[in-house]
Amino acid sequence: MPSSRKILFENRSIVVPGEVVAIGNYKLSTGVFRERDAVKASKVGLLDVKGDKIGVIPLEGSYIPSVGDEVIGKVIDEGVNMYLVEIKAPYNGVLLKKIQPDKPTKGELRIGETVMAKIIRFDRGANPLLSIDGPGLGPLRKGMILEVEPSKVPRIIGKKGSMIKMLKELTGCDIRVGRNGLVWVSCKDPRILAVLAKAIRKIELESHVSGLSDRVKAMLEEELTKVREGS
Amino acid sequence: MSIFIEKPPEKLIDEDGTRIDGRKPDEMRPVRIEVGILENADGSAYIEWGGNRILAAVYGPRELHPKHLAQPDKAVLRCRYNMAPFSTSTRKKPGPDRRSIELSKVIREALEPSLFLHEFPGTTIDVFVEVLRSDAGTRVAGTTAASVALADAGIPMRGLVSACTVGRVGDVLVLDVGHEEDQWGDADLALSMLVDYNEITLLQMDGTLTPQQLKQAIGMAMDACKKIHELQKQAIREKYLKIVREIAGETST
Repeated sequence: MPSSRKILFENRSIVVPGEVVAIGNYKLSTGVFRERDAVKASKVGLLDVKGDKIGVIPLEGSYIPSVGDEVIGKVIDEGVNMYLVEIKAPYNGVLLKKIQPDKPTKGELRIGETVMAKIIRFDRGANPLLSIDGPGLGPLRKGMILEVEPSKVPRIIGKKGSMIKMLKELTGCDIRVGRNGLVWVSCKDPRILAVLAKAIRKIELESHVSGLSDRVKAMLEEELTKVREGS
Repeated sequence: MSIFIEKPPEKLIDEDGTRIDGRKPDEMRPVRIEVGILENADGSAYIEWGGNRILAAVYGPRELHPKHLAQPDKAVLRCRYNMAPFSTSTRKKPGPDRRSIELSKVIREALEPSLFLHEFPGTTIDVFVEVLRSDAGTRVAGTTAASVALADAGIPMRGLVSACTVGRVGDVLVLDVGHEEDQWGDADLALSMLVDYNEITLLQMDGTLTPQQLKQAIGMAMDACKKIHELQKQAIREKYLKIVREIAGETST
């Protein structure tokens, strides 16, 4: 017999840890847990109901590595066969070197260098294993790094990459987003870079208010015309 | 005798039940909580509770150094309660003392049951409770603020921890002990709880209460915690609603 099910908040409303968001046998996504019959929020965030599935999109929280994520990190140490990469998480990433014993390892990474890498293995018991094999991965040797809150990264990327596509098209800059809250940007014009940074900050701050991409677009267009007219 | 030593008041409570600061026995002091006020902390909260002014900051989960302190199966919660030298009427010698070491421990133990620490093995979550101005009941105000700061840091938790004190002046039980009642009252009891689960996570007492009074005092404190809990939830929401209002104001003008 299907028990009585009920969602107690409107979709996309702000919930607080411990609050009962729904009652009944829903499927649980992230940011929620079950307590007897009730589904409760475990984080501050926006309630996200998709059919049968209930979750909370967190508004706060540091980055916790997850397999498949592309992250930006800094090489902080080097061992015989690996690099240690600081990825703004509670755990440092490990990047294995490709060693050919009869040849000197050539032209790889240096300590202090910034690198874009993919997490290929992680289970919270040991440090995450990184890889730089793949398109777009590897050292980032120019450009600039912006820091944002890791929980806001999905907003910067947007639905199916719509937000980042708009940012790239309007500014003409090269942008790479690390899931850990580091954003790499490379612009020809430093004034455009400043505008882009402002736009990213705006996304971070207003991520929970609907109509975000329209507001960002309006702001970008206004500021960019100012810059372009000025030059 | 120093001029800074306070004299006890003639009486702490009137015959008609009016307390020395004008409150009724079951009346709390005004409480205001603000969330996310420290830019560099992962989570933060500021609480004004009566004359108390307390900042709480949370960092983490982050790597724990020295490494041997880390637990392989869960995060380590570390807590520091500290009183600023200027927070009391006579200067407090800076640094941890017997009292603040104890309060650090009890605040940590009051918060621990609320957190899902097993999600972050090998890491630490650091909580700092800084008392800027003290006016009785700093441990409960600090616990209340610290729990909100933990939520603001995005640490997964079962619920918020709320706290309050109850004291005894003569035969009267008084809610939310004030400074004079704390100094010269006959008993005071600090309680913190997970309101969502009706679980008490901290219970301390100074002085003496009869078994009946104790029961009644715990009941009073638990009721007060429910009010504090509402304020905590409101304060967390307010951080985001403020931005919503700002944007609405921008677009309408």
